[in-house]
Amino acid sequence: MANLYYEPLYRFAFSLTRQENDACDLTQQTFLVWATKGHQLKDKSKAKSWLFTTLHREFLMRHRRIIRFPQIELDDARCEIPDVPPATANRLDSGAVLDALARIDPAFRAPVSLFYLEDCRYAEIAAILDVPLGTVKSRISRGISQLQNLLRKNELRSLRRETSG
Amino acid sequence: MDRDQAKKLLIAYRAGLDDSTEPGIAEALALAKFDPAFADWLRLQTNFHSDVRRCLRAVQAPPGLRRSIRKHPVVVVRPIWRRAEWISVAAGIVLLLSGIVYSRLQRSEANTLEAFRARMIGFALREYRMDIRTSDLAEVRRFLAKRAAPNDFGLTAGLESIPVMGGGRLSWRGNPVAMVCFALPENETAFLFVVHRDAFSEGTLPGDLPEISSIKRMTTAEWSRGRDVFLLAARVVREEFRSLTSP
Repeated sequence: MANLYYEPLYRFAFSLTRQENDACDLTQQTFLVWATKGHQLKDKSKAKSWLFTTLHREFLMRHRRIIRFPQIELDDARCEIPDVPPATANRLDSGAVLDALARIDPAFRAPVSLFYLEDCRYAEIAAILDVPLGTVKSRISRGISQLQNLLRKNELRSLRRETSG
Repeated sequence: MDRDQAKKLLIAYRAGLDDSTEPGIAEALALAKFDPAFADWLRLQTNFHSDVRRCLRAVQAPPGLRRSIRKHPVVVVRPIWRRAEWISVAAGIVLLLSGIVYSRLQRSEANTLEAFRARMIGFALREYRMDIRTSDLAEVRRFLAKRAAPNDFGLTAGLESIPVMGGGRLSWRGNPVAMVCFALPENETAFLFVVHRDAFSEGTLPGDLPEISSIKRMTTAEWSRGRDVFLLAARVVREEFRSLTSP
């Protein structure tokens, strides 16, 4: 189990914390919980979802972020979608993306991370995060929108720096 | 559907993974076929998703992480009452205590006629159960013989004159006890218990003639004949009872 999932779990933890030590702790804690409670899971095919759910819960507990985020349906979301997505053609780098991800609304961070990291279906993300499907779709759309806006600003800032330099 | 509405629907669309037949999605995707600017936006969007996915997946777990997860064996601390060894110990203690209590109870009941009488009367007063229901005494005897209980005992003339209801095989301090039930008027029952005399190691045994007494709500009579000791009990008055014990 550890061999199979420690890396995806670490990446998810890192996308949430942006701290290597915290991400390691969260990953280890998740496997500790698995070792003590994993036997209660009857359907072993759900082990992956179970691990991600556990890691997310641990993250929320540690950061005392048990905040009731308003559940907004997709239709109500007022997200500003940039006309043009930020830099493409492999110009994005991991650091910039992780920095931007760390700056988006905390409620959007976990669903967006799962959207990209694990290619999870919306229903699976909803199950992992224990939120309704419509809310997950809304959070992902709004999170991507915020991410793009932040990266676009970074891009413009870099361009300005290059020009002035 | 206009372009902005389509963008809102497709901003988080992943080709090949998300359902393209979902209401709205199919319509928004169709728009890209007729609107080159929107098709361009969709292409850039798809590229953006690929880039972000690549960047996030490029994060490597520290080399020691897997080792530290596997290295530190997790000690599952179960509550003491759920540990196998504790359950075994608890079961052993319960068995031991049961044995002690049983042994004490056995020891407290002496091998005397009084103890036998008390036990059998108690049995007759409580809900008793006949192992065999028949009016044929021979059948009851065969049943008792098969179970190594006294079965060839003689009856008093009084008992021979009343109908048999059935019988059963009991045990007293490891000794087989025969029980024969007789029907009395007014739905009453007479219980005859027979046990071999060597079941008694203490006290005196009754003589050949029935000795009548009353215990609790029952009238009883005890007598011996050969190797057998008899106890008759019924919920009737002494005068009526006396007729049952007449030789």
